[in-house]
Amino acid sequence: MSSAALLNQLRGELSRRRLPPHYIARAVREIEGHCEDIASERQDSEAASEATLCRRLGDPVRLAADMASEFRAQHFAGRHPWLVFLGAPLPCTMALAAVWYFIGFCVLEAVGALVPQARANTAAIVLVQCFCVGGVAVPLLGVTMIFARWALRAGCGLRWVCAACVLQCLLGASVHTNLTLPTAPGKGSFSIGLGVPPANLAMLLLPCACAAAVAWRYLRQSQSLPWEMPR
Amino acid sequence: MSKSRTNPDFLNGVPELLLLKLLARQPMYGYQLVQAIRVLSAGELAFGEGCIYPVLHKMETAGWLTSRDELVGGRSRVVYRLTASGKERLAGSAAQWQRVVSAVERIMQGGMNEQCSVAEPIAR
Repeated sequence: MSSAALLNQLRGELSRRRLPPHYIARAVREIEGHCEDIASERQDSEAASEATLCRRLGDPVRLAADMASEFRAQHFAGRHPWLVFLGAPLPCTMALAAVWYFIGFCVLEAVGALVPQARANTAAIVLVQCFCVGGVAVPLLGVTMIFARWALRAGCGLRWVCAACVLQCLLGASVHTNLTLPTAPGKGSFSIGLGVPPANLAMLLLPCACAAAVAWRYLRQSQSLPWEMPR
Repeated sequence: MSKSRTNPDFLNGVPELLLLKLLARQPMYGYQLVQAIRVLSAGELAFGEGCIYPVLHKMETAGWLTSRDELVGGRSRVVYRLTASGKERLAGSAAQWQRVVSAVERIMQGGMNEQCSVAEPIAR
């Protein structure tokens, strides 16, 4: 039936414009209902012809373009992708890392003051090292995941996921940290900064893996939508 | 002189105003809204019927409408309802529209010629 061709074309155009699967499903369902109503309003066969549907509903390509445009305009990230995906990840990562280290060191100081013998404990030393690495890894992973999801949900597409991911990779690879554990109160030191050449190649892969996982999940959802409409 | 103002909704906001007004009467779904616009405008307002959906989605995101899947005549349809925020928006848009219509009306009825009669003719 002709409405199925129109709906498939619309779905394809919306998908090509990287709109989120849930929005595509809803938009196509609404247009499908509209086609049914047009077909049932008149009993002659002309009502359901493709030309009639296109005339009444508008060209599917134009309709998809309008939907994509309106959808992006509704989201801050869609209106300002440069600002969001190139400007925001770095400050967000730094802010998250600052919060992580501030809370972590407060806890460590409190524990060190309450249980002085914990300073020489091997498990405590390993825990502190993990905390130090986590201060880089967790913000990198968290911010990459949030911005990748944001890009896909705002219909900005994979290119903005890649842009944010590349920034996070560069940041992660350039981070240098140094932790000297205290043997007595006030003797430890911690430093963090960016350096060239990149020293932390493992951190280069973390954002890539995170962004790839988010994108894979998103693409799997897109493909799970029924492509062919019932005829 | 009063501050310079623009009327961004002069044309762009017309579909939005119509949809708000129709939904203030009763909840409707897309096809019903299109039919209502066609009937009430006596066919004068013609547009691609599909273009109503992006506008409805935008209005829903703005919080002026809510939508819900409902069975209508045995078929599942997305029915839109006006929210309290939508009612406020309707009141504002309708008032603005009335001002624009009144202004255009005054110009069309020749009021501008009277007011600008002191203006000097353009030199040739």
